[in-house]
Amino acid sequence: MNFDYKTELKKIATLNSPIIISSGTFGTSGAYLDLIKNQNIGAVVTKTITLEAKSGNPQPRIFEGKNFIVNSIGLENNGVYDFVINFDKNYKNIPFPIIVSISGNDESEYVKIIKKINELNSPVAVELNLSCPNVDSEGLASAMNLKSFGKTVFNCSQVSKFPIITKLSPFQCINTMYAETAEKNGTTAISLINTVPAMVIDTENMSPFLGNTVGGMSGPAIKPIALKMVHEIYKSVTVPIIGMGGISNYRDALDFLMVGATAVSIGTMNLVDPELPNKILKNIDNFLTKKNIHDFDELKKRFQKNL
Amino acid sequence: MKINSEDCKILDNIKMSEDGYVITLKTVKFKDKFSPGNFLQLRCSEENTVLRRPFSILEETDGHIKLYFKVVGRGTRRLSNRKSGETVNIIAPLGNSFTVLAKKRVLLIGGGCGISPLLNLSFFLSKKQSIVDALFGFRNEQDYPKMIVENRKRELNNLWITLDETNKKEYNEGTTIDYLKKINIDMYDAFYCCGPVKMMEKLSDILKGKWAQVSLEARMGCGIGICYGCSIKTTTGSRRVCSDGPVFNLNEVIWDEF
Ligand SMILES: Cc1cc2nc3c(=O)[nH]c(=O)nc-3n(C[C@H](O)[C@H](O)[C@H](O)COP(=O)(O)OP(=O)(O)OC[C@H]3O[C@@H](n4cnc5c(N)ncnc54)[C@H](O)[C@@H]3O)c2cc1C
Ligand SMILES: Cc1cc2nc3c(=O)[nH]c(=O)nc-3n(C[C@H](O)[C@H](O)[C@H](O)COP(=O)(O)O)c2cc1C
Ligand code: FES
Repeated sequence: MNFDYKTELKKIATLNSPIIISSGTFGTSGAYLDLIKNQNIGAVVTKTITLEAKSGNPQPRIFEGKNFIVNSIGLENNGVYDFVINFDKNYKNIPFPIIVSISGNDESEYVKIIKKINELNSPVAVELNLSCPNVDSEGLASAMNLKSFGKTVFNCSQVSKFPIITKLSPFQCINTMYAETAEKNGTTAISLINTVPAMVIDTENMSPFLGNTVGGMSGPAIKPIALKMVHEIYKSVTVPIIGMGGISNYRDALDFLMVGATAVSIGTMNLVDPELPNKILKNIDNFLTKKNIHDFDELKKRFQKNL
Repeated sequence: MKINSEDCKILDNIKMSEDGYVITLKTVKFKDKFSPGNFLQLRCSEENTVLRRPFSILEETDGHIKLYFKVVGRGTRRLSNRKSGETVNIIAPLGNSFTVLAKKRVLLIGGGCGISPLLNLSFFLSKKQSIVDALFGFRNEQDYPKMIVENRKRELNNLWITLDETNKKEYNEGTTIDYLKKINIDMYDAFYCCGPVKMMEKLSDILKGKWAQVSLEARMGCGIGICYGCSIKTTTGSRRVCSDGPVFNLNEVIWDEF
């Protein structure tokens, strides 16, 4: 590698690389550690943890379209108490900084979960999943209300001993209000986008395809939507942005970095190719060399000049 | 062995039935690394599909992996067009495996491409001196990959083939479930099953109380235990087909969600 990919995410950490693995698509890695241990990954985000255990949604949970998938996992997890007890066992072998993703049904639940997470030492940040389309409306409803959204970010920032990353749903990125509210209420970084609420139908059988009827769309097809959102939010906040949505190759990663992301995150494609991070970085290396660009700030400037 | 990946050269890709193929892949990393029941995740194409496709191992000898697959959609159609000399990327070895019983009398019950992991298993069972009978069902003669099955006849004590429709004496008309009623199932110590969900559900009724293992299929995101896309309900709670399975005890599966 010809370049230094160290990425500073404000007070969260200086990452070895700008590539993060997204929530729900990393796992605990015990099983596939051999595949990823030599990847230059900046950080990994845990599956979203809730206060109580959740058994998830009925099958089928995954639909595959031409260049997207729709999932309705339903935040299957054993709850925060089990998560904290087993944290060392499940994550101690992982050679990357860990970000813990959490979701609550209301403001007070977020605080309860944060207090429990505070018992841990090794995570570098907590990501608030204020956006998952797979929990029933309560979760999304409270997060869709700007006032209660702001209050949740504020309370979590106050209580958490770890820096807070606020993860936005595409519905919270239609304009820049949610991102600005998160910044005002103490978030250290913003990540976007979560899956796009979506539905698929088994036309032949005239029935919904997914066991849960609705789910969230991700994968290559959503990239243009996500890019536009990062582009606009970058202009209205100063906190670092973690950009994601459909990243499957180095061009996708570069595009997010150009429009304003400080780091990028791979979701769906980590399920397919856990060795993608090094492939992306190798190609970025070639690109920067060819274009005679020395770092990502210069890349951003070159793009912003063409706006 | 820990999960890993490999670019495998396609040695051949041969049509075996109306829509069934046997593809042979050259492996270095996974030589002697598969247990019966294991599967792999294969990238059929980087352009036409997003996710990998799961396939059971039909056989692995001397670093040659054989898969038996049926063309059902975009990914498998693309795979059927792949030529020898090209490479495909696989992630393997995946999932748990069948319990290989020694010196028992066992019956394999398979439908369609479900025969693949069972034929793999028959090799390991006969090595352990179990007596293996097989009951395999297909739609019709065109659907029956005769070459594959006949190739493995040495390991099988009895072989019964059912076809939904046939007038030939060498086959039995009807389904495996129909034929099972004609067999004295009490003479078997164990049953191993793989096939369409409807068939497996019916078997779970017929084989209630017996020692029986089933290899299940579910839609997979990752195939390596990280996304919870393949979770199913069992009597011991939610389990991932890709990493807790694909082999389960037949009587622990709760079928109402399938
Ligand atoms: C553990 C396991 C072992 C398998 N072993 C074999 C085998 O040895 N031979 C064989 O022919 N088939 C096998 N299958 C089924 C095989 O994976 C599917 O037929 C294949 O994924 C279909 O892909 P497609 O693109 O052609 O079909 P499409 O219908 O276009 O696929 C769309 C999506 O649905 C998924 N999908 C469709 N059918 C199935 C299915 N039956 N099971 C799981 N996912 C499905 C695909 O992976 C894809 O993501 C196995 C499945 C599992 C889970
Ligand atoms: C199978 C699956 C599970 C996911 N689970 C979560 C989750 O638990 N929490 C969360 O915040 N996002 C979850 N996501 C969303 C991803 O983290 C990511 O925001 C989204 O998929 C967009 O990126 P991608 O197109 O690269 O996948 C999940 C996505 C997928 C595909
Ligand atoms: S397919 Fe991802 S956990 Fe089983």
